[in-house]
Amino acid sequence: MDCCVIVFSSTHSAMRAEKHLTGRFPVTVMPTPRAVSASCGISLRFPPGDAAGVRAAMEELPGERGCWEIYRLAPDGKADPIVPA
Amino acid sequence: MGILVDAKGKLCPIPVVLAKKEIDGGAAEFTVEADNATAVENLQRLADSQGYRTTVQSADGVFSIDFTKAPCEQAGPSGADARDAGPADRSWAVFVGRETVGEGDPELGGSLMKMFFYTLSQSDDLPEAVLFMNGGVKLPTLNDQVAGHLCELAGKGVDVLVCGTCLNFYGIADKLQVGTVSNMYDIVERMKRAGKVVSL
Repeated sequence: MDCCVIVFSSTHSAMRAEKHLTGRFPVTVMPTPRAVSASCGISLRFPPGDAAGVRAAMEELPGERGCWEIYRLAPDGKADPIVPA
Repeated sequence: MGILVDAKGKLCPIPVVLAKKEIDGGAAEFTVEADNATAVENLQRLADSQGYRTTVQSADGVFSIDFTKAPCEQAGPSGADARDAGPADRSWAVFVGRETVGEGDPELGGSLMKMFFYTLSQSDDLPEAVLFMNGGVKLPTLNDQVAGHLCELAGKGVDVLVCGTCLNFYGIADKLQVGTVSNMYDIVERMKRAGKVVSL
């Protein structure tokens, strides 16, 4: 699997993000990958090409600042954080 | 020339569903014709899980997959009973009687349900069947994410049974995205046949 995931510090943030992103991006709810340590077990998966768009959409939620992070998941299961340029 | 299943032009999971029908009917040999590589892979996976060998030939974009029942795989005299015989019965089925996992917050329960089917769709040792009744029938109809995961599971040979009475009760029978419209008899039969039934 080669995709991106957005992980959260709380389930509240995860479910808020799901509502905010669904319909705008092809997000899939999935359990947080083992390679990523995050407080919340709910993550959202989406295609790598949408990373910039998802980031911009999440920045529309000031109340969620600092509560989420985007990772790139490689086929071998390794996860690398995507840091904005 | 034996049984020929024409799955050309059919989208996932139909090729696997058609092949499974022949297997459940006790066919020892049959051929499936498909026109895409994904169908071939899924059919080979189905064959492995059901104790069949496959040979694949391709010509002009058409793949012919010959299924042959492997002789040593059977536990009893007839192939159809091979599943219930034997001490190590690892077959299992999932019963879903509601839209959400557990009691408490319905939104959390909904997320959990999506994650359950995602996780299942990514794993090995799949259940033989997933059975839906009452509120559960809303999942393969109105829940796009769950329906997508169920499609993937069906493509790997998992039977998806959805109670027709319940679909009619909720007025959503025409919205079923994946699975067979079933009834109490068939659903109870699948529960009895499985080594264990996991109820959500």
